[in-house]
Amino acid sequence: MKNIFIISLLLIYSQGVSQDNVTRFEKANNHYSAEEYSAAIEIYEDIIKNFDHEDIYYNLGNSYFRVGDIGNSIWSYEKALELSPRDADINFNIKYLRSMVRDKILPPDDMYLISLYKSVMLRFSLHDILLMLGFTILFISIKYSINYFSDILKGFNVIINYLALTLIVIFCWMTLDKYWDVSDKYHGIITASAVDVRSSPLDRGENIVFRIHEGTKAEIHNFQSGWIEIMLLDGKKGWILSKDIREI
Amino acid sequence: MKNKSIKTFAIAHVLFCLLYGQISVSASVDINKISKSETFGFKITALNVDESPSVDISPLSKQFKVISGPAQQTNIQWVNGSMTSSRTLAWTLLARKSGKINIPALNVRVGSNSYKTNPIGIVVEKSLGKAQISNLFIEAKPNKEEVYLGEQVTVTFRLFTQSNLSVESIEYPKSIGFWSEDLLPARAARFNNTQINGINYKVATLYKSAMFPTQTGTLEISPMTAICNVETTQRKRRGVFDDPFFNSMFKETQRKFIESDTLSISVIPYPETPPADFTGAVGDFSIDTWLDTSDASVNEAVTLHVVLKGTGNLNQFKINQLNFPQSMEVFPPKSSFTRDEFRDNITGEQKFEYILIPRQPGSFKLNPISLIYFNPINKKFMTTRSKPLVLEVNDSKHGGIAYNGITREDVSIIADDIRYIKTNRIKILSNSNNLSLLILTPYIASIAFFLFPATVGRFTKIRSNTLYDRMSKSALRVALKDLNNKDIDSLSYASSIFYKYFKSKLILKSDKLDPLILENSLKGKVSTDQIDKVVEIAKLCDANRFSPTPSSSTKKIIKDISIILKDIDKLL
Repeated sequence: MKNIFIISLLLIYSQGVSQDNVTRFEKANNHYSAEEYSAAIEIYEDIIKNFDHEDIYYNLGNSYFRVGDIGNSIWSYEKALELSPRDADINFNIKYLRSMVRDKILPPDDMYLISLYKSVMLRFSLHDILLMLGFTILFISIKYSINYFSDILKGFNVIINYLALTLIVIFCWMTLDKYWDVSDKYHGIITASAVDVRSSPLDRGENIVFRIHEGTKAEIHNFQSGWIEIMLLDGKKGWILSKDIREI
Repeated sequence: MKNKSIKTFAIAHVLFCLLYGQISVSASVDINKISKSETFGFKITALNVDESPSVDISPLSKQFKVISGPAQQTNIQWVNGSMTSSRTLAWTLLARKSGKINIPALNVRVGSNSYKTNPIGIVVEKSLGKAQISNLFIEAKPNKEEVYLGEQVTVTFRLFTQSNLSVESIEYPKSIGFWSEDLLPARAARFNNTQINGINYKVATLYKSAMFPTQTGTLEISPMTAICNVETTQRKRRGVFDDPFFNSMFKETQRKFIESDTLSISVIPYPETPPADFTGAVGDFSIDTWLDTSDASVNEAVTLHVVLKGTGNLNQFKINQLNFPQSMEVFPPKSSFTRDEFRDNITGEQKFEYILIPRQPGSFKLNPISLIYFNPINKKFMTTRSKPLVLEVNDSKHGGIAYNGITREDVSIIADDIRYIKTNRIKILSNSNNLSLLILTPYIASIAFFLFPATVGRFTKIRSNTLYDRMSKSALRVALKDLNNKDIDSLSYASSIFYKYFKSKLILKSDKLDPLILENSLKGKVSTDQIDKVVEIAKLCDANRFSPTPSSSTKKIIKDISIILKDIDKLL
């Protein structure tokens, strides 16, 4: 009884939080419609401090784009894409903004199968893959129950078992891979208009190795008081000031 | 340090000037009497120079053709302590005409200085002709020497040789006034054996081309030229190996330049004036058309296939513009050409695919397509026609709009922009926590499905194990319920209830109970009086089991049964 009371309280509280977020979300949307983009950004940024939703990140990206902040706009779309990788609007807008990024960084060419695998992985979030794995296991459990009471699946058991086992192995691997990608790899978007990348975390003139520009995506490798070590898609590595990059 | 370098350089320069002699530039040829088909070497040598000479050989281009070069060579010699260096530029040339030809003095630049070479005279004898150098020649052979405008001439270039050779390079003929198509794919020369006038030759087809004249008059096909490395036997050796056997071991190659004759083709005009619709088709053609469906709906695309088959100058003329009904939208046709690879005369199929979109219902007649062509065999202009086609167009099944005179076109992009924000508040309300619950659902459901058969099995087993206990416990309730039934009208039924109670209660295996079994079973469990009473009732029931009608004593016995069963049940 006591537990039910606590759960009810939590539900009521979360509903209250949601309602508050919805009110603020609508308020920010109204600011956006009135072309008051800075005010909209302020509210969206405030909402995302304790609430994640792809629509909020998407709208935030739009607002940043309208004020000409390409770096933060791409950052917002990247966040939205993490939560909803197949959303057509997010994909359209991020593609549009990526075309505005000055740096042309070409990743190394992969074999056809690897690039196919990568494109599949980009289309699904961790939740999606877990859901697919769950439904595969559910399918096997239903088959197990049917087999207990009836022989209707007798002729197909071997095929179904192999198919289900293969799917489970694939989905498990995808889950692990996605999990490692999410948990081990940190990415960031360059938010400053131009950033000198240095060979060491020291602000000297002679250690600049290359220059990157706003909106470029980089993998974050290391942190050191006020500095971040980044690696670009093509393998170039160096240090930049942490204020010039926003972690996704 | 700097002074030391300057001193070293000055000493080196003095030594260089002392050691090196006078600079001189000269030109030479390796042979000055040649036949027209033979190449010769031309060299320019600069003596005692420290950098490569540069020469403008453009004055030679009128009379000579450069086959290869320039090749550079540097030579340094020490003779009696003095050094001589020479730098040589060498070319391989071929004379363009016969007679006495003068190689003019050429300007040679060495560094900032300019020098002139000596002029050289050479004698170029007329080409020895096919008969005289019959061991190696290229034959150019057209299948016809007189053709009509647009009629195909197949020209074959064949290399005849009696020696082993390799073809180094080929310059293909230029044919101005012809539209040509290669019939033989480029590949290494394949030699076959043949005999001409009793002499064995190796022959290889170098090039075969289908040529279609595009203008009348006498047109020339320039010669084909080839440079071959011909194997020759070295016969100068004398001594121990002076035997023909060893000739095969001492072979060397000689570079030879050969060319075919220039061909003249007479292109004659058509024997009669071409009709107005003639578009230049020469050969023998047929035309066929069909629709992929003869029944279509409004706004439904239909494909009209037009196939032009035949032999002749396909691809070089167009079929006449087709006239389609006004209410039919027609897209530009896609065309493709398939050639029959196994024929020298260009033969094949040219396909056109028109996409038609009828915009109004009705029956439409598509006029036949005709093509006027000149047949060089009959020497006449002829016409081929396709059959007429009819297209039935019904009203659109989906209520499509009728033709309104507007031609559809691609949506043109005026400016690029991002898409608008998302304002759906319902989506925001569905927090991601719900998503986690959604993810957990199939896992929880699958656990339930895995446990379901085991749970069902266990339940069934328990039920089966406790069947007798449950029967024993509910024996009195069942018996009283049966006894209270108003329909009970005989002691036979009461007797069966009585025995059924004891069977269930005492979990007796036997189906045939009697007073003695009951007595033995109850011994020690209830009092003797109660046992006696039970036996008495049992005997009474057995005695009156087949009583035809119920009597007042029957009811009393049933009542007694109820009482005794209640009493006994408390003790058992």
